[in-house]
Amino acid sequence: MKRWLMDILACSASDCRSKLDLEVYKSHTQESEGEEVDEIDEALISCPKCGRWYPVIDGIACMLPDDLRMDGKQHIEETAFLERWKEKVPTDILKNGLPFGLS
Amino acid sequence: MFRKTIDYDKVSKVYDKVRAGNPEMVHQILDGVSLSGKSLVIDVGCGTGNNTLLLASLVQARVIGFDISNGMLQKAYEKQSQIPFVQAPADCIPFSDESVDFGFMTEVLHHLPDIPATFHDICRILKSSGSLCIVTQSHEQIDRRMTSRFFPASAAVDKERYPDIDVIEDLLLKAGFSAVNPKEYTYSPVRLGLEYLETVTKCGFSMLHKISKEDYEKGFEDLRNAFQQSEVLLYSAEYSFVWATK
Repeated sequence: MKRWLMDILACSASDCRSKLDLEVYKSHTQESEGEEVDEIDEALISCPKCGRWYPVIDGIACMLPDDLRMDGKQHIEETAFLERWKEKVPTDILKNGLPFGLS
Repeated sequence: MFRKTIDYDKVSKVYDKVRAGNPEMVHQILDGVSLSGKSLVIDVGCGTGNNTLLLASLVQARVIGFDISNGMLQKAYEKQSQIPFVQAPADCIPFSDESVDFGFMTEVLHHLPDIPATFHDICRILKSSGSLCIVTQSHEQIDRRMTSRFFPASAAVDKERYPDIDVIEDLLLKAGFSAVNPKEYTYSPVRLGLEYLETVTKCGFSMLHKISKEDYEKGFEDLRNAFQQSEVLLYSAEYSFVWATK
């Protein structure tokens, strides 16, 4: 994921749509048109207004609304993301995250 | 791809092997829109990103691909990481209001669970001068497909899935678009070869997942016989490009 995407992304909640914060956990540099650019592999996107969090997994920003994150494969993948980065994810997200945490 | 009746993560495993990007379609789209290096373009329901990457390679604009299926997006991302791909449904795009210059959807509409909500959300994120291009097929165009000849049940299935053009126009206007302009386009005829048979064999056309096993086997047998008898299968694909201006 490119960092410039954060200039455009907004919270998925229709009653929020706030600008979002980004905390990068894993990235690598790659060459693009002769320049070294940062490519984000894993990161936490969080909403400073409503408190929702979204993962960047394998370079893809997962920006689904709550109802599509609560079960099935998506929930497993996103829970695994929290487990993988639980030393870095803020405690309030791990405990009481929106739409879910690790508890 | 969108809230699911078909498992698109599963489909992605074969889809990408049998469905390539469509340069003629992408050129048709670009002929209808003026983009600059500052423009923001979104491909809604980009699947494995074939048309996204094609279009992005031809313009200076920033291009972003959206899809609800993580499996499809992983395939897209493996090809090229210069284009951001975002997992989101078409009816809940994570952008603020009036942020996008141009949106396009190629053969996506029939996958959507809530077309009115999708049009409403795309209209919300488009700038006041923004536009949307929907590539789809009218019911008459569905009837004239090669797959409709061999798998007639698929035409009936798809006419249920695809809203006809007048319905699309009406929904776009109700969603807030100010003008709608549908255009039909017929591609140069191509002779369908073994790659067509392979696509059918792997169920690379999503409507083949929706017909009965008997209807599929009957059509497949007829198609294989046509190839064995060296019948020349000439096909001119037809599409409707529905342009909507905010």
